[in-house]
Amino acid sequence: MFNAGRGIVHNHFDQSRLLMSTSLHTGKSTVLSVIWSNQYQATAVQDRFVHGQVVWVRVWQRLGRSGI
Amino acid sequence: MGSYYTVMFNPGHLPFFKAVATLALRMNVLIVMSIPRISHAQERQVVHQYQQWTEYGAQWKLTDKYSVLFDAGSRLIDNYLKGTFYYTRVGLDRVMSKSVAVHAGFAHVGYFLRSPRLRQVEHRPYQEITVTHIRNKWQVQQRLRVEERVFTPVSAHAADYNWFNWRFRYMCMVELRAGRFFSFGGGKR
Repeated sequence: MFNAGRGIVHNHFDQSRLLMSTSLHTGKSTVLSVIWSNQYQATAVQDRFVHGQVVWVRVWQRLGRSGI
Repeated sequence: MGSYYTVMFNPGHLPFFKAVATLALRMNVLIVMSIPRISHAQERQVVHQYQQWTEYGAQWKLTDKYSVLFDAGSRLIDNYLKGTFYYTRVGLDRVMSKSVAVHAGFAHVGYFLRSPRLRQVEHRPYQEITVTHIRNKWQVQQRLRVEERVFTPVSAHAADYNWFNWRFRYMCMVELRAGRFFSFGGGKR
């Protein structure tokens, strides 16, 4: 991800994420995912970065004509 | 992952393996570009933190071409900028062909950090294009998204401002379907 704009002086780089996931598909309409993300993120302070380890739980559904 | 858009592989479009090769090249370029200020590595300060994210999302199919996408979630941060984010996002998706979809929407994000000076909300219109290739049990999805981010403080401790900037996001995800119930994915954003 990259930032741009008049106020962006030194943090044009925003962040970069590497993700790995495993998902459980229940029927045709619902997906439960557990995702691990390793991310590297710029801050508003020059030359200061955040290295984040993220655990992400996600539920996704299809509704309407092809789903529930 | 990668279930936002369900489109079928079309052999008449970009051949699958050519697309994967192009993708690998792009990822290498992105990885190189993602190493910030490598020439100033000795001055770089890196803070480590853990985050826990939860999200619910839904795709409501209106017609064969159009669907509404909605998602909402929260993010807990335990170090450095401690606090909670929440976000809601809704958008309209249009399938352009068997492998290409375009999407536009609006996101609202709240940053409720422990430091009152940093509490703010964000209003974020965005537009994106997604290219998806499906071959047997494999799916490769690439997405390019442009965001227009407007930040407004919600704390009396912060000076009033109306900050705007653009953000450009590229995502590539590979998914392997394993049997009827499971899939495994990986990728880069």
